[in-house]
Amino acid sequence: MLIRMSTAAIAGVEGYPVTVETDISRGMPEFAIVGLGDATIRESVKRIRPAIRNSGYIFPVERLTVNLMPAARPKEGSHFDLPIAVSIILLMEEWEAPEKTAFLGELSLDGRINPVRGVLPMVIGLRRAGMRDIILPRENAEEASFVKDVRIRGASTLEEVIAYVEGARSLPVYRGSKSGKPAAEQLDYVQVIGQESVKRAMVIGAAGRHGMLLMGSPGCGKTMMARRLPTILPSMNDEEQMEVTAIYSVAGLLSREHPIVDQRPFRSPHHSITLTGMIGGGAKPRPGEVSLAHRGVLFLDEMGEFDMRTIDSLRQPVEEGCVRINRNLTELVFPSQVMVVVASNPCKCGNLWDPRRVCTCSQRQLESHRRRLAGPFSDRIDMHIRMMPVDRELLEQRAEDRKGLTSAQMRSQVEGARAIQRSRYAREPYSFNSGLDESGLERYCALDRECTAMLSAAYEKMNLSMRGFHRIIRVARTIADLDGQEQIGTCHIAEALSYRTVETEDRN
Amino acid sequence: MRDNEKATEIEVITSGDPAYPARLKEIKDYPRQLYFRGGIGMLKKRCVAVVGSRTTTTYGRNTARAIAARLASRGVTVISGMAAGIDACAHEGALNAGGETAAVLGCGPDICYPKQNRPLMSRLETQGLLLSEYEPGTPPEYWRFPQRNRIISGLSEVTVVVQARGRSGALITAELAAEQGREVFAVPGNIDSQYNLGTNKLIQEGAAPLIRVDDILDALGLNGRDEKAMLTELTPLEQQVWQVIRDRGEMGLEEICMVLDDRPQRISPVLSVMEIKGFLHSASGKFFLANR
Repeated sequence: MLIRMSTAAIAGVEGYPVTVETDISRGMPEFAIVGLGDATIRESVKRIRPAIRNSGYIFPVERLTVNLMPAARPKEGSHFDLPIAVSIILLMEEWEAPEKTAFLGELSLDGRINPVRGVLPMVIGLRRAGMRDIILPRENAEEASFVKDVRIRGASTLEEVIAYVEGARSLPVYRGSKSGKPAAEQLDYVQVIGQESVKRAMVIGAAGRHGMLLMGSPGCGKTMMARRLPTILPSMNDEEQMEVTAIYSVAGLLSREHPIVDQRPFRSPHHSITLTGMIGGGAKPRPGEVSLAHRGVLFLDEMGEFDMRTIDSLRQPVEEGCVRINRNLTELVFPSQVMVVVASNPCKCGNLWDPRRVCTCSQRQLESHRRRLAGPFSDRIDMHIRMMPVDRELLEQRAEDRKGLTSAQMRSQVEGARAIQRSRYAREPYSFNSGLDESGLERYCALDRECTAMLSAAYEKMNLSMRGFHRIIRVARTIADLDGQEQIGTCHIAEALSYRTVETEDRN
Repeated sequence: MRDNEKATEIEVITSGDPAYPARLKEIKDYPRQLYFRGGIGMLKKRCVAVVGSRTTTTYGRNTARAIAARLASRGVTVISGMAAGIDACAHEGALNAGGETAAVLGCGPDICYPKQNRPLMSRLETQGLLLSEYEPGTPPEYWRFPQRNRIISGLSEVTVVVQARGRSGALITAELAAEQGREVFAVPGNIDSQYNLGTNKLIQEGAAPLIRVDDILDALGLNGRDEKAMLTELTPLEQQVWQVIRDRGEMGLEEICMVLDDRPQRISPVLSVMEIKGFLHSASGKFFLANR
């Protein structure tokens, strides 16, 4: 006797449908699960047997073989418990498997259904495979209800599920609450006193999604600036929210109360992070910080303290917008479209730029600090922003009523410039000015004679490299977009020059 | 504007007076009192002594005038001794450039020595400053001149010897300046002319050779550019920015925006342009006036 049930598995951050084939035959009692399951799946044997018995059903004293199809792809997770248990009970009771219905869930020994991770991508995969009903743990229903055109039914015990399948009772379709959005900590740029020039830089960076390096002595507000960056990025559309939520679901980072990521992520990994933690991977591949920051901001505070190998390994994921990991002959892809913001002290001790303190770094330390900011990854950083602590006296002189820009004002500037870029780059593989390559620069950033003259003068005076040259034009393009100008003017170039990257200058 | 009538009167100032030049008090044998005619206030400014021998060549006289004019146009007071030759040319150069100059005399402030400097002396009375430690009526005596040289160097941060023969009094001034811890420049000259022997010897002995006029301004830490002429090259906003940075020394973009009460997107392009033009110089996120 054989029965087939539908469920799903995860590869990277993608869910794909899996068929659970269960067969009972005469012979020595045995319970085998094949199909490259990991230790969790092998252990499910020990959970399923008591769960079935404790729910009031009979566990067969026969030869049981479960095959997870496709059998050649490695699978992991405890969510196979439910489909396997249901298939055994249905076989014993001689019921047909329900059509176009998939099951996900982990079982407790008493038959209760526990929540699992990775539900959203699995539900997306199942919808794609044509499933109509998905039965899953009640706690995961909110997360899954994000997917439209599929009936999500939350269940909390095995018994409930069997009763539903046999038509004895119904399981209501979960509609999603959509209400309980917790009041996030209200960050706003208006809370930053002074530093209007840095806010301007943040607007430019956000508008063109340029990589940014904030340089300044400790305590001048680098982290404060970076933390507020998501508040000026355009809010995510449904598709983006679903992508990001899927990643968090796989990583098991969704909160139970509000299992949807609807704010752009801001990830700030500690500098002790490993390469795997940053990029993703591991024996059972998990998304790294760069993927958790997908569609949001990846902030690296104290860049000089990070392992250089970790930093340099970020170059390709940031450039390509995804991480590719080869595991067991398959390639896993984690998305990683991030905006990178890096903060650094001007030197190791941090006092180099502070007029009131003394820098205790040796010349050698200064050199090595500078070298760290110039690795292959720094190619992805278009803007260097020099931050100064603001003079208290000047701040006090400023009139009380003159508040700085608010995040809302800044966001509307960013949205305007992004709309221009969207229509301009509709046919290009990139969608932001930061993505402009050489041919793109030629096509979209034609410079008039005055601009060319200014750039070549700057090339001489400011010690620019050819790379630096291109960065300036990219940033100038964004400044012109913020200005609503199609033609880049000298004032745009001049402002972009103030964010030029530190390469050989600043030798003091 | 100074009051011409008052300028011709002889006044006296003692070392306890706040108007007494502070720099002069740094030397060990500063005069207890000074008799003067003219604007004593100019000694509070940056002062440079421009001295040399009485017997000179055209090269020496032209150089003296050029140096004095350059310094005067940058607001530096030119100090000299109103002797014939280089000293007179230095005073003339400064006066012609509309700048300020002071003559320290080796006789009473009412006596003109040498006589041929009469016209120069009257110009100094009205437009410059005549200064002496000797009371009115004191006649010039050869031994008084080396005495007064200590005041010339003592008043000045830098002493420039434009041209001097082997045994010139200007060499004494240079020696005193060095003793007083002041910087000494000597203008190099042809080695086949005995008029340059003294200055070349000074260089040999360790005085800094003056190879372009702006070396002095560099030594004073003054931007070598002519401020007035330079400001006309700048747009009004650039001028504002330039003045803000000049007044406060080094400044970051944020502070400049605050002082000018303007938006960063207006100021930061201006800073870049000024840096390209060479008016400013930036390092470590701060902007400085370029030293050019």
